[in-house]
Amino acid sequence: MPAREVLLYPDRRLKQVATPAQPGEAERVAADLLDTMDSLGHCVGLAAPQIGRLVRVVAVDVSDHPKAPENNGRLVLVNPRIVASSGSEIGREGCLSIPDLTANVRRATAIAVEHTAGRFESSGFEARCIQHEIDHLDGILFLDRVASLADDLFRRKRYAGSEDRGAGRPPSSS
Amino acid sequence: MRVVRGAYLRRVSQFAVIAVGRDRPGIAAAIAAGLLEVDGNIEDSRMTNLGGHFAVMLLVSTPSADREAVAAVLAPIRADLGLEALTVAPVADAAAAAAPDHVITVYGADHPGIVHAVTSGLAADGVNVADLQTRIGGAAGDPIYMMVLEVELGDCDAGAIGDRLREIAGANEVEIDLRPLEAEAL
Repeated sequence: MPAREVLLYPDRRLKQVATPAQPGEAERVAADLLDTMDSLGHCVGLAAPQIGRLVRVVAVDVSDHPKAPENNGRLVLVNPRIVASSGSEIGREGCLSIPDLTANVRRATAIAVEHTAGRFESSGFEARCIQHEIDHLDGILFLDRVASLADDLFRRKRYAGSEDRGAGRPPSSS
Repeated sequence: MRVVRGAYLRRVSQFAVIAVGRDRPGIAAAIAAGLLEVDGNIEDSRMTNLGGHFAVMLLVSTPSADREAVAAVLAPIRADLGLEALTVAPVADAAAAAAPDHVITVYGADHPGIVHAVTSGLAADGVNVADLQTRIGGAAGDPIYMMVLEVELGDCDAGAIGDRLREIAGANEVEIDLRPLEAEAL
């Protein structure tokens, strides 16, 4: 299978809801996703709509990433659903479909995912990537989830009236 | 170094100091040093790089200096650094700081009129903008414009504001989202 071109916003396909993937089709799309990911080198996740296929398939692989010491290896998820989530943290995200923009996005810290081949749990950077990719299946881009302005840590202290609680922690970057 | 404490307890004059200059190391330091010469206290500030130009916005109080005195210490700094703009203006006692309660994100293919469409829609409904920042990204030759606003809805109806923003989004071919601002103790 060849590597596919990654669509760039404002391509409207990136804002559409993908349909459940059928057997056969799912495998073909998954192979294209993995080939495309590999061709890009630095890519930790890709969703089918990003290569123009409006079906619910994503690929995630953070195993080479320094921020993800614990991970589930190379993941291909067909019709994935987040069935449980806990925790909440802000981290910096970018997206191949929106080059040169990053933003602080709030995501669950730990999630449980069901897909056609089973169920697993994930946390940290890998969980963030999975949430980002599953959002693509619903036409949601990370810019739709910006939590606040870039200086949100500075400001949130003020909103919360908690100036005396210390500086908090800087957002993680990804 | 001379340290003046408690100046804020006295009756003070407040000035808005606005400066813009081609970015280089030392602009913030030079302006801060000049203001210290007139016992200026930087009460609130925003300094950032706008497309290669360093932009400085300060609210400064001093216990004694008048506008001319503040301008006089900054004038040689403007000349030394080759600043493109420098303004010192007296400001009345500041109103209470804005208390934003919602965040609005806007993004779409870059074209003139996005900021105007969104802000004029908000103004028409009496929504106060507390903060507004924009960025340009996207692929070369196909720029994506992104804007994030923190706004004060106050008594305005969030549902009605959301409806208006959706109309603006459709008319301008951009994505717009309105959400409550997260307030969180860390």
